[in-house]
Amino acid sequence: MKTENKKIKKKSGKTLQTAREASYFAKKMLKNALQAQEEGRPIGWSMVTWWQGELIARAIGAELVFPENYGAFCAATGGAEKHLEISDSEGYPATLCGYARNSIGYAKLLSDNNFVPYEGAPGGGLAKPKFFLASGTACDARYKWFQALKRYFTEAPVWTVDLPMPGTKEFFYKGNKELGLKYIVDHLKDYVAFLENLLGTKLDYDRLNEIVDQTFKTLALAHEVDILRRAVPSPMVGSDFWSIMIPHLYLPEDPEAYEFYKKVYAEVKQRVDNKIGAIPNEKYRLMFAELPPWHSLGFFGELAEKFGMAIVIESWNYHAILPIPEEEFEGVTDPLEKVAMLTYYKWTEYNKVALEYNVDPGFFMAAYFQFAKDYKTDGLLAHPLMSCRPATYTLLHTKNTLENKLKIPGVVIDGDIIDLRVFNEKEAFSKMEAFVETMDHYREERKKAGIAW
Amino acid sequence: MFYAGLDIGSTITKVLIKNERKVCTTVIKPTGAEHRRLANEIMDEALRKLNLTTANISYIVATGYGRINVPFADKQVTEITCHMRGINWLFPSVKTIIDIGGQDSKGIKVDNGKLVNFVMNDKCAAGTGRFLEVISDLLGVKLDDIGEISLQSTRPTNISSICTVFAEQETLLQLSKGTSIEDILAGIHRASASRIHSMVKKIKIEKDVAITGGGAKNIGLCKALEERVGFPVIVPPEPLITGALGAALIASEETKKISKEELIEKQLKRRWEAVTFFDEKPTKG
Repeated sequence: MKTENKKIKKKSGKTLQTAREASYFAKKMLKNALQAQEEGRPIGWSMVTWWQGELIARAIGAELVFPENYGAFCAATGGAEKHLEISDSEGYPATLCGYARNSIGYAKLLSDNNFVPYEGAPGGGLAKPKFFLASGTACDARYKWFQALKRYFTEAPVWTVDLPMPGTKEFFYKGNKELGLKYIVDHLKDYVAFLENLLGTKLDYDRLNEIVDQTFKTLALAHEVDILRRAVPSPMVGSDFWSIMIPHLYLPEDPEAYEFYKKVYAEVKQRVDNKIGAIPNEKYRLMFAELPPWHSLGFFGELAEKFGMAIVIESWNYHAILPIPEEEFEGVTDPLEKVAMLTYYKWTEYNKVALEYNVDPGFFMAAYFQFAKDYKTDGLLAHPLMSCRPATYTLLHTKNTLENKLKIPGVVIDGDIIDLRVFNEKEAFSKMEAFVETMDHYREERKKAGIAW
Repeated sequence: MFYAGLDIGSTITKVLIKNERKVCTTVIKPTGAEHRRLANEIMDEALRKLNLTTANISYIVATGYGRINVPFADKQVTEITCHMRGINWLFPSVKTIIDIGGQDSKGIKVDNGKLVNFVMNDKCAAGTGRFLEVISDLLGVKLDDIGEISLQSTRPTNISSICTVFAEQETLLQLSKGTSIEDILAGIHRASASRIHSMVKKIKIEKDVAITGGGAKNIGLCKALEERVGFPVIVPPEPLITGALGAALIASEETKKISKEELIEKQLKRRWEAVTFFDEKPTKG
């Protein structure tokens, strides 16, 4: 009798060579921070602030690491469970954000080990922070997360950058944009003063200008890749994107990131020119909403193999910004203002679409309506994260509205970014199997309604 | 020609054999741990009832939780599709199906025989057969009887929790207060119906509504759901077999899609021997 129950290691689902190379950037951030710790340079633990806070921190000489990115890294490498268990035993509920719980568990281990990363910590671990850079953008729970982390690093202050996020109609009020930008710039000035005071050094505005310019270049190139992805068959899939997003989201000012994106562009363009699909026999083109279950990315490879499903575009907020019209920059010389524009435009870029479809909040919903058309999609794979409130608030509404207005059906697969205990892969697969029939039905419905794809 | 549908649910396994015109036989048995061994035995039983051999079955479709554990199936189809097809064949007017299984419950939307939308409760026992099983065990009442008993209630108790474990505790508390079993069971059915109803509402409940699965055999739960839905619901004469029926209907369609030669080749490839979970190689049953 054979009793061995050997777990088969699944493929990551990445199809691009460049996607396989992208983890270099995640490791680079961790390594640079550990090096900075040795050299006595300041380290910040930062949230994704959509470049608002990161660029300034880097311009003043801080090394940044991202607990959100580290959470994904730990989950993908099987190192998250240990941190989650510690978070649980510290008394944090399992319903909190998976990224937060992962970082809390790690922080406890780091503080218990005299601020030396424990042996075997994924990627070498996060170095001890000098400060925390937080943000309330996207998620209200983020306000509390880094405050909770201070329990383990009592001397590290938390600075929270802020962003006005107007409703769909309110965005179009006269003077709203100018007021929003002024608000951000004022806050950024305070943030600069905070960093200068904490680190005892002055911000080099010329350096910030260089960083901002390089960031715009990298993001523009990353957006070009997004445009290439509109091709049928899709030249790359979600599993590729979730790797290549690391440099543009976390290190856009790094010239290496720009060089990397040149390679990504060339690889994707070559596929488009030769009509090569990322997956063989692409039958269904899906949008993916919210973050993936990092611990089970092989799931998407199986969907591709079994049903010909390609994730052709993912959650808007992790993609590069749409190009800002040149004229918007006329007369703008202050790099703080450029930073403010970058983040503010990112968070309001689909408001015209939101108005057209009458959806609110536009920033979390509208892009899918544009994506559905641009990427000729057959369905929405909605992954409401059990621990992520903002994602869950809008996801079902987005799914239902897409069905009603564009005859794009959706399927809901519950799970979590980090905690694999709440992801039922077998049931998820079963739902996707049934969803094939639903997509077939809606294809016919779109034809009847004269919808183009 | 004969077509077979085999539905291996988490609790009950069902086989249905039909020909072009009618359902010829059904067999319903508890699933147990070894799906594959049982799949073989239960199919044999169905064949014996009709005095048929395996060679008489043109096509076999397996569905349900254990569908991948049927080595002799020609095709596996998800239970969502099979329940939809079975109900659509029985009641073409039905637009919303509520399937209450042993370990999950589902809402399914149908439009002209097409699967339009669905929703599932698959991570929590609340609103499933398991929830009712736990409570019936606790009260020492047969699962088959709890529906009827609940209808005798005059003052249904309020079971506020949707968690099976907490509901169990609430039940114990009610017992200690002297609440009658009828009132407790009515409260339990209401709590379960509330959970199922709020889930199915996500896909918009439209008339007609049918209930399938083991939960549909519980009249107390059906009545509680009717109250929630606000209009009468349809319950098939044997709600356990709608998945297997759908599978057999698909089997009949699949037969027509392939040539005689392909059909014979498929039949020859069937692994008819019983196998167990513990050895991937077939062994003589």
